[in-house]
Amino acid sequence: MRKKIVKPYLYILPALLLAIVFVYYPFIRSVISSFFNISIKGKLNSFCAIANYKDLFTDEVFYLSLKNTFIFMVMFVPLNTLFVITLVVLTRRKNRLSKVAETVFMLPMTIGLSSAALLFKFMFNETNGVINSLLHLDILWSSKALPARFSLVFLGIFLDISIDYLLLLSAYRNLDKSPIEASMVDGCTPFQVFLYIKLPLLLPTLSFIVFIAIKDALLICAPIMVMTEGGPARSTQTIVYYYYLSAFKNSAFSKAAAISTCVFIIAAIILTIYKRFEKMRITY
Amino acid sequence: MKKLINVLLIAMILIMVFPFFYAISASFFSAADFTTYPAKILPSKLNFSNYLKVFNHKYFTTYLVNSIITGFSGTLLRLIIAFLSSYAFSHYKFKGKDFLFSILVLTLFIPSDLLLVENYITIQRLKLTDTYLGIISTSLLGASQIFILRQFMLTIPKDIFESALLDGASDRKYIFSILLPLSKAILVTLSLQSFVNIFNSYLWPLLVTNKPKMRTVQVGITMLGFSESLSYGPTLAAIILLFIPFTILFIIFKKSILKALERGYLYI
Repeated sequence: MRKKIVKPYLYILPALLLAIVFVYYPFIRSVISSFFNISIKGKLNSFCAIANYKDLFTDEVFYLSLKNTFIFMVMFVPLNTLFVITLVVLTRRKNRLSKVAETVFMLPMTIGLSSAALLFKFMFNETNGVINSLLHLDILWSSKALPARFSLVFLGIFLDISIDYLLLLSAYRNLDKSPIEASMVDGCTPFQVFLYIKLPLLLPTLSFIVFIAIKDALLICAPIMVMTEGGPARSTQTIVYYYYLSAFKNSAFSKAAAISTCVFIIAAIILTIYKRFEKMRITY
Repeated sequence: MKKLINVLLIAMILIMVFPFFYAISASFFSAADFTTYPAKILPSKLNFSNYLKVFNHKYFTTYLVNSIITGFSGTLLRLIIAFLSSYAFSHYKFKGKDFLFSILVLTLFIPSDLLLVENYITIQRLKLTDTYLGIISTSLLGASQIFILRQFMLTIPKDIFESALLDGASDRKYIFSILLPLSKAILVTLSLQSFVNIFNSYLWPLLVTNKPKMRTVQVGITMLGFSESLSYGPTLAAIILLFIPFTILFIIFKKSILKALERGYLYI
């Protein structure tokens, strides 16, 4: 009998250990670290209360990085959402062309993040890149702030599109048919049906996609490292990239810890808002 | 209307295909093709020297082997760990079950990118930098895989488990003769996802490897050292070499991925 009780705990043990060692321990340590001076080797030296935060909140680069992250979010989230909706609406009916499209829209999932970033860096080269030559324009993708941000947004959409598309597509194809048919009988135009019936029914999936996009925008780092390195003039330096630079380029571990705690808090707020929104929708 | 939709759809397909098409095309460019203005779309003639350069690169095959080793071992370990815990969560009753389950699922809400520094310090202390175990360490816990597998296992009728136990079957026997065969389809999808995920990860492997000998290919690809000469050719050839096998895999498994999604198993 005793054996039976121990068994399930043994099965869970590896996962639990990993969760503690690689998620909860670093999480708690990182929050605690933000109140300490930390040596270059990562040792907690002396308690300094909120000195790290004081430094951070007087640091212009911190605000700049937050601002850049926010700008990226404002550009990325609506464009990404609109693009996903467009792709799903265009492929909503199963036919030969939409089958080809499904496969094509899944392709970005197969390419690694760093490969994609290198590829985009190459295509958006401002002197003789293919994008400029196709558009017959001379957009300064890497020396002007706005174009650089846009190139990063395009990369972001490219990296996220497959999973978003597949999620929304399967939600769309699984829609409850009866309210749609009823409204057709009542004489609604296809556009009205889409706007007033289908879109609200898709809201759970859409809000999930938007939530993931907001989260991804808040946390974007690796694509920036490969593609723009924060440039030009720090215009694409986001908050998590600043965290990375502080820790691994400047060995400012205390600062990095303070930044990460701030981002944890922002992430928690976003998550709470999302949960609230979910609840509201269910009661409605 | 239908015509308009088709035209738009074809335009979207072209836009999405273009990066891949162009990467393939440019991987056959000669050094001179890269310097023309305006940029070329197609190579002046098929030129395999970029691919030869990749294969002759001092480390590229090492990078690739490292990625394959970490991809396979990471996937295998992640799925074994996830399988065992979801088995416990779906087949057993025990104290603190809900609490322990939520501890595991809550890890999904803590952004791992912000744990890089602390995890790096941990790995350094454990002397695991520049080891395969260090590279896969942070991807061994697959909380979403646990969640999905548990959900799936809960749909298996309890009677099967109970009658197997009554017949005197051990856990191991039940797992190998009943549970594993039943979960085959979902395990295939999850392994594919995990493999691609671990194989393509960038930031963590970049941090924990310093020796070129230990780098994974997605890290190494940014350090091939060709891009300095303004010739992207070999880098593009490497991107294509990595991209083709996965594309074939995804096309083969497209149906099961879509099916998993339709059942509500998030593919993240």
